[in-house]
Order: sequence, then C-alpha cells, then structure tokens
Amino acid sequence: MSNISIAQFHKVFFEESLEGLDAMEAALLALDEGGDAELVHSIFRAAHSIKGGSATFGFPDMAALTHEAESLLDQVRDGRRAIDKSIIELMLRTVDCLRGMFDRAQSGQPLANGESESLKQQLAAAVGHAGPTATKVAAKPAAASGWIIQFRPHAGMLAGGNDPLRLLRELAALGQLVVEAQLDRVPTLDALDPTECHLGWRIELTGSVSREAIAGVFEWVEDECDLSIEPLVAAAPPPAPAVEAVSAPAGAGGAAGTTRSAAASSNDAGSVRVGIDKIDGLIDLVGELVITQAMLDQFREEFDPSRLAMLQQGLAQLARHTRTLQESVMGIRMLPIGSVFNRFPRLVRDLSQKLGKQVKLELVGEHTELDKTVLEKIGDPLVHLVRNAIDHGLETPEKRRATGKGDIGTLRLEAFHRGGSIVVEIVDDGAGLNREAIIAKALQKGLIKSGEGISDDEVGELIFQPGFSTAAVTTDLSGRGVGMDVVRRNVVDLGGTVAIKTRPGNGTTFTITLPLTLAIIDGLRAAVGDECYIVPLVSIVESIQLPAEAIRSVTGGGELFRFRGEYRPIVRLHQQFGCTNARQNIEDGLVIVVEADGNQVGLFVDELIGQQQAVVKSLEANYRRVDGISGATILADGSVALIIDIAGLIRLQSRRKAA
Amino acid sequence: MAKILAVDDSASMRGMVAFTLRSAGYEVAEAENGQLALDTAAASRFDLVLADVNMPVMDGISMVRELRTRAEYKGVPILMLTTESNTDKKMEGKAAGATGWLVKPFDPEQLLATVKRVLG
Repeated sequence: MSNISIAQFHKVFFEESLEGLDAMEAALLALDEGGDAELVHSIFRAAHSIKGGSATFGFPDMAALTHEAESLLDQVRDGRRAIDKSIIELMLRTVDCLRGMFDRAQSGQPLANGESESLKQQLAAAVGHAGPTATKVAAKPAAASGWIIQFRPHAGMLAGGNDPLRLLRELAALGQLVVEAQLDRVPTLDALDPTECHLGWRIELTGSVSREAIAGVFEWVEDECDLSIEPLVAAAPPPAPAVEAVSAPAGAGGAAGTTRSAAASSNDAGSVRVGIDKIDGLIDLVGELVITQAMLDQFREEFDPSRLAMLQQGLAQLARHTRTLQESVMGIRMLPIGSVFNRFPRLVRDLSQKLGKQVKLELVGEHTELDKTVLEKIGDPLVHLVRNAIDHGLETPEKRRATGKGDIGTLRLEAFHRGGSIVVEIVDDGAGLNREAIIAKALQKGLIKSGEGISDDEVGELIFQPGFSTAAVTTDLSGRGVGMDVVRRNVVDLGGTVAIKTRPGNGTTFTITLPLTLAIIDGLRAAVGDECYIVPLVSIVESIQLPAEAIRSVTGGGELFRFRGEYRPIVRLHQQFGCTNARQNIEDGLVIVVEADGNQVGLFVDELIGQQQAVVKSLEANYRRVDGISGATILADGSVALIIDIAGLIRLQSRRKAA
Repeated sequence: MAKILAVDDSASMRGMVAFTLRSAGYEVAEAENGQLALDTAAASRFDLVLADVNMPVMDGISMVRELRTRAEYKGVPILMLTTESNTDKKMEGKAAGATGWLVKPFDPEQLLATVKRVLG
C-alpha cells in the first residue's frame, strides 16, 4: 500500500518543491543585497520542507543533500554563523543542483551525480562535520526474561494528551503484565482534581522484550513521569543454552489499512492547481455554449413576430451569461507573469557578474496575468532578450561613465494590459543599436541593396531577419546578437508581435504584445466562393473596395495596390486555398488590409459576412499543420471555417515572391 | 470514527497524511499553517491533531501552545510531525504541550500505527 499511496503525491511534491526552490533562490538573492532575518527563515523552511518530503517520498539522495543545506541554514538561523557571499553562492548552487535532481526524478533517472556529492561534502565541511553524518547504530537489544517498571506520571500528564491507560495497554501488548497500583498520593475526595494524575504503578513485564521496546512506549512521556526500567532479577537468567528464546518482533504492530479511492484534496488558499486537461474540457464546453448561442441567434429572423420580444430577451440573457462564464473559465487558465519574471534576478546577477557589468533589474507588473500556455512559452524569448540586453545593450561601467551615464545600467521588465492584449516590455538604458554596424552587416548578407535612407525603425527590423544573425555576429558586432528571428517566430506562434525601438546612446526597448488567451479569438467571417474563413480581428487594418484601375500587376504574376501611400501585395485567398466559385475580379469583391510583423498585405475575398467569436480548434491535433491556417472553428450552422494565420500567410507570400 | 486535523504547509505531505488516514476510515480536515489550524480547530472539535513544526505564518510549536490554552483541547492528543531526531527539539514541542511526535520520514503504515496507538 505504501508504494501506491505515496507515489500519487510525487507530482504535488515536485511542484511544491520547485516552487520552494524558486522561493529559496529569490530569498537568497534578496539576502545577497542585504536582507533581514525573515528571509533566512523562509529559506530554511523551504529547505526543510524539501528535506522532509524527499525522505518521505523515497528520494534519499535529495534528502541527504538538503539535510546538509538545512544544517548550515540552521546555524545561520540560530546566529551561530553569519551569512556571507560564500554561503549564498553555495546555497544557490545547491538550489540549481536540486532542480537538476528534480528533473531527473521526474524522468526516473538516478538522482545523485558528481555535482550533488561534491556539494554535499562542501556543505558538510561548511557546517563543520566532514563526511556523511554518523548513522545511529542501535545497541544490540539486551534481552532479559522480564522487567520491572516503576512508572509514576506527573500530575499534568493528562493535559498533554498522554493517557497512562494507553501506555499500560501498549505494555500489555509486549508481554505478560502484573500491575500493582500505588495509591499513596491519591488525595481526599474534596481535594481531588479529576484532570490530574494521582496514581503510580509498579509493573512486572515478563517475556522476551528489549529495553528499547519498553522505552519506546514511554518515549513521549519521559519528561512527564518518574520512570525506571530494571531487569527482572527474581527470575534467574536461563543458564541452559537449550531454550534460547527467539525474540518476537517488538513494538506496535504495523496494521495495514485498506485503500479506498478517496481522492486527496489540497486546499491551497492562495493558488489553484487544476489539471490543464480539465480546464481544456471546460473551455470546450464553453465553446459549445458559444455555438448554441449563435445557433439560437438564427431563429430571430424566422420566428413568429409575436414572440420576438421574449426570444430577444432570452437571447440577450444567454449572451450575457455565456460571456460571463467564458471570462471566468478563462480566468482559471490565467497565471501571473511573476512566475516567469522570477527567474530573471538570478540570470541578471550571474550574467552581469560574468561580464563585469553593473545592472539594476526592475520588475514591474508581476501580477499581470497571462494564459498558462502563453506563459510557458514566453519564458525562452524573454530570456533571450534579457541576455542580449545585458550582453550587447548595456555597457561596462567605464563606458557608461565615458558617455556621462551612471555606472549602473538599468534593465526594466514590465508587463501590463493594453486593450485586449498583454504587453511585455524589455527596456534597457544602454547604448542602443549600432546602426552603422547593422547596416554594414545587412549589406554584406545581401538583406538590403543600399544603406541610404534607412530609418531607425527599419534598422531595428533588420535584426529580426532570418539570416541576419549568425554566431559570428555577436563577436564582431556591438549590436544585438543571435537568433532574433527565432525570438520573433516564437512570439508570433503565440499570436503575438515583437517591436523594437532604439534610441542611440540611450537604450533599446523591445515590446512584445501577446493575446490574452489562445482559446477564443475575435474574428471577421469572410466568404470566399463556397468557403468561409475567419480573419483575426487584431490583424485587420481596414477593408476596402478597389476599382480595377487601382491594381498594378507586376512581372511574375503578383498584384499590388496602393494603400496609405505605399504599394502592398494582394493575396487572392481563393487562389491560395483553391476555393471554387469565388469571384475573380477585384472590383467585385473586397480587399481586407491585414498586418503582421509590420508587414501589410491585402486579402482578396468575396464579401464580409460578419463579426464573430471563434472557438479555436487545433488543426494539428485533428488533421495536420497547414501553412497559412492557424486553426479551425465551428460556425453557427455546424459547418467548419478555417482561421487564417496572417503572419504565416505573409511569410508564405514573401517566400513565393522570392522564389 | 475519530476526527483528525492534519496541519502541514507542504501540500504533498498533507495530502499523503490525509489520504492515508481517510483510507483507514478517519474523518480528516486539513490546514496549511498554524493560524488556519487554530481557526479550523475552533470551528469543530477534533480527536487528534497532527502538526508540522516549521510552517509560515504560524509554526507548529506556537499553534500547540495556543491550542492548549483552550479548554476543549486540554488532553486532546497533538502529535508533532518533525524531522528532528534531536531530543532537545522534540522536547520543545512537548514543552509547548504536544503529546508526542512522529519523526519524518514516515510511511503510511507507521503513520497509521502511531495514530492507532494514540486513539486506541
């Protein structure tokens, strides 16, 4: 039973321990900047919990390492040792090592490695006892034929929850008892306090019982009674070796309980832990509700007019409730961005130390909430941008002084709501992009034809171009480095955008805009021939009707139209997706101007049907990935409409142009 | 069946204790720190309290001390779930009014054996 019932708590244990490690790390870093005693307590508590849990849940290597860490922390906590940089460093490395151990534990690999062993020894050396802690070797139980026990509880024993009767029963379970009560201290009735103990006992216990077993019974009350345990001398020790009694297992019998399928619930007041599939199921349900509502909506036009008012009222209510339910269910998926931000103090500290830079990290808006999926995937792009900011954006103290800035560079991570989006800004007050070097590199890479007349914004865009960044770039260019195209791709895959603003000499700002949720999008329904497509509302700039003469054909079959003073390519959706019965003449249909990653194109469609909320169903999960399509949704009449991936479509378009 | 209050800030430890006891038929309430445990203990009467020592907000020792000042919890068994094999530390809990202790790590069988030992 123990294996089964313990293993089911592993997941919770891993989760809470990783949170504990995050808390330890944060507190250690705060301590590094001069924190108070409460920080030491919280670090100690986290280590202590992990130690207790890992021992209980069957991870002795982890327990051994945290035991040493805890001992060291205990000395700090008790004031026996002052906290210093070396201890913080050692603890931070222990935190990292434990994270690795948890990773390995989750995939069932052996936990200990050279690093954990070496850390354990370093911690032990710091505590002041080298080598592994001495294991208690139990003295060989001295068997006797029996014992005489003198037991007199102090008056207050009952108040502490220990009942002498229980102790006597436990003794009875060990062997044969002869009990003699000592009544000499029982007061007269008028002076008797029934909540106090007044009796004592002389107990003769016969049987092959070890002293330890008896001491075990009295373990909890040693301080609450007068106790003596003497071998029974009256019975002569058996001289004949013939009848060597085999000692029966002593101690309380291990009674195994029956396992019932009672699910263990944890009521964390501060946080909600819900399986993501359950939430996804709920979201699906809400999706159905949204569809039902849309379906009902259709009756409005084909209904007996006398009942119209009622139907409309009911529909309005359904719509309101649907939205409320949708919002609250979405809320379950939302988590504060702080959990991602929290990894940066450590990263910034380590990186700035390594590079000899001084960086002040400001985190703003940690409580801003993001969809869990977005949150999980935004970490890597942010790490990339923060690394780049410290590596290439912020200058060394000497350089900063030379340009009249303070020694300490500032790096600000800020998250906030803007409209229906979440914005995350990474702002540094470093040198800004090196315009000349970037243009030179772009020329060399053939990304641009000439460096003339390129605006600062366009220079910023260049670093996002695939092929601009190579490993070599970081070494010979003081601008920003590797893989910015990957950063942008990651963000775009989340339905977001990345923009850059640079102020030469004053720093750079990256602005990441992310959707609140990936599960439901607002879109415009557009008809193309027999098909219907959803165009995400956030990407739409304008819808226009173009006269035939506004179209410029270019060699290679492309079409352009003039919009706000610039020529934009036209993407004929019916050609793109092979739709039949679609309108062919531009002047017969509509052009929807859409934008992604700073590029605009015109989508040629037959007509717009209306605005609608689309519950996104994954195409990859149900079919396969299709370029230019981000997913599918179910319409009010039950038919399927595909949702257009604007950024993907534009990429497709530019690739075709290049081909 | 007896009612037991399980107090531990670690959700996994608390979950394991509660699950084991519920499987054995006990009625179990949970609290994640000493303060919440005091509130729970006031709302309903328990036959046994199992409490972790190190917890945020209010630790187990302070919780026991406070609980023992309440008339309805005089004599109710309270066990400390402790990782301390050190006698002094165990005695700290006893001095505050604890009945006894269960040393971590323990497995479900040890837990049940101890609980049965106390509740009879």
